[in-house]
Amino acid sequence: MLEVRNLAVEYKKGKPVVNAVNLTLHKKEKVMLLGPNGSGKTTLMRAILGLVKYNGDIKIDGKSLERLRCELCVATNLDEVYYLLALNVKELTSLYMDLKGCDVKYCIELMEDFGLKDTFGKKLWQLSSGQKRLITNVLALASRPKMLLMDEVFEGVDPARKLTLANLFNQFGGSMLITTHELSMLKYFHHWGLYFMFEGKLFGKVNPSSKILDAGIVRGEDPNAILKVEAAGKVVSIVPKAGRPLREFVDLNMLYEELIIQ
Amino acid sequence: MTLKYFKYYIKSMLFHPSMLGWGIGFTLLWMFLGAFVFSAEFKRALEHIPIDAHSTWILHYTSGWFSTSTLYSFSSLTIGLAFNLFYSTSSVVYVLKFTRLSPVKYYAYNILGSLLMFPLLSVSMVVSVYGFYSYSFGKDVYPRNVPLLMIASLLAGVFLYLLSMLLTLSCIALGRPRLVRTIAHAPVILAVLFSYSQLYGYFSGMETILHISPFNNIISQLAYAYSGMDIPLTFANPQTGFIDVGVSTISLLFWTVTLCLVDVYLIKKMRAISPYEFF
Repeated sequence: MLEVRNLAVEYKKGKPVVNAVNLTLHKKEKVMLLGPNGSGKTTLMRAILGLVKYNGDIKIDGKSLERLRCELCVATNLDEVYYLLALNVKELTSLYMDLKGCDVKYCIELMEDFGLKDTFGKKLWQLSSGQKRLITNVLALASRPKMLLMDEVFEGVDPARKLTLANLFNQFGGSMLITTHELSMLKYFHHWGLYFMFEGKLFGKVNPSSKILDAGIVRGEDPNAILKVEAAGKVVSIVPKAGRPLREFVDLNMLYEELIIQ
Repeated sequence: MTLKYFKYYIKSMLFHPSMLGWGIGFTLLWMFLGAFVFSAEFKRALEHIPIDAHSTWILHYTSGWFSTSTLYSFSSLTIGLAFNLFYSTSSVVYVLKFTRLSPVKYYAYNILGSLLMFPLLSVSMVVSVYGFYSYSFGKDVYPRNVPLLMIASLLAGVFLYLLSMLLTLSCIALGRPRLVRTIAHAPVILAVLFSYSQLYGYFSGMETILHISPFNNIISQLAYAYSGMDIPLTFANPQTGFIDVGVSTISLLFWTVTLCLVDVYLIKKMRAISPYEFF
């Protein structure tokens, strides 16, 4: 179980990238976090993994993040955690599966299923962003944790393999938080919980996310809103079967641009 | 057991560009110059010395070049080690929190890796020095105490590894990670300063400095193991007295243990450096 309370992260003083975030991820719960680029999704993920200085309280299975050591329950696809040594993909897989106490064979098979065999002799930084993302996704999945924290899981990945990934995520038995700006992927995760993130603030949760599949955007506050979000200094309501349909926006960047422009 | 980390650590260090470039290539060039270019004046000086003292003088000259070149090589190599840690802080923080690798195991494997790597590097240097200097002087200048030489290399390597980690971790702890790019070169600069002071300088209080400075401790032990003779306070003037190798060894051990304890504390407190903070 993940508990995040009053989380704030600043890279520059007075400019919070993540602001007053509260989030709970229960055992076996799966949630999706949608936000445009630069909204603070990756920083939130980095904070939960202890990779960035933060204010607030983060607990994993009741233990304070700062005191955590050698906990195998969490895995991530953030590529910055896979640069421990200058190794090629096959060696990297062997190392990380050993460190996680997991079966390297399963991981290699999964990579082969994704057509990544050609990358085995290459270093992570020599790969395309899509290949890198797939490899780190597989490394995280194959370490069979209780909790997966997955950032921009579909970035640079082709449509066929996006679908395979979505199936794998749905089959995963533990709790999971994935972030993406691709609104169009929401249809594959309709039974998941849903959060939105704009300008470092978290809005939600909508549960299940299928509620917003037919919803639309209405400016201002609406009494029938499923969720109200604040972005670019404006309040926007997500209302069932009203306003401009959300599905018209391919990703959250488009939605955010429109809010800023108008 | 997480032994794969140890295996891959050794492999990545052995084939690291700074190991091949600075650790071996640069030092071989330096030793070659010492044997064939900078030795011209020394060879002229030999003409004014009784012929039965030639072997001793040549052995002193060779051991001096061996010890200072080894120190430069090892300390140059630590620049790469410091940058390795700097660029992998996120990975280190993650694996220490969310894998079976504990901070103590991480440090132990890295130190054990250095224990293997530095003596290996030292062997390549001993072979080159023996070949170059024997050929240049026409005398057999083999190392007099090879086991001691390996132990001295090992101690030197561990100390320099811990020092480079300390400098990197301190910059991170002080919230000035970008300072690493400058401070990582400190071991080389200090190595040059201290080795030159032992090669040519003599001033009041120097005897104390030579016995407590870890860089001079390293030079003294390597030169002593190579030549098997007492090491003068100043290589250029053997009449200034000699180094007490026992005291020198205790001093280096003290530095090594202290750095080890501070490093383990700092690594537990280490935070990840965001890629935005690299430049």
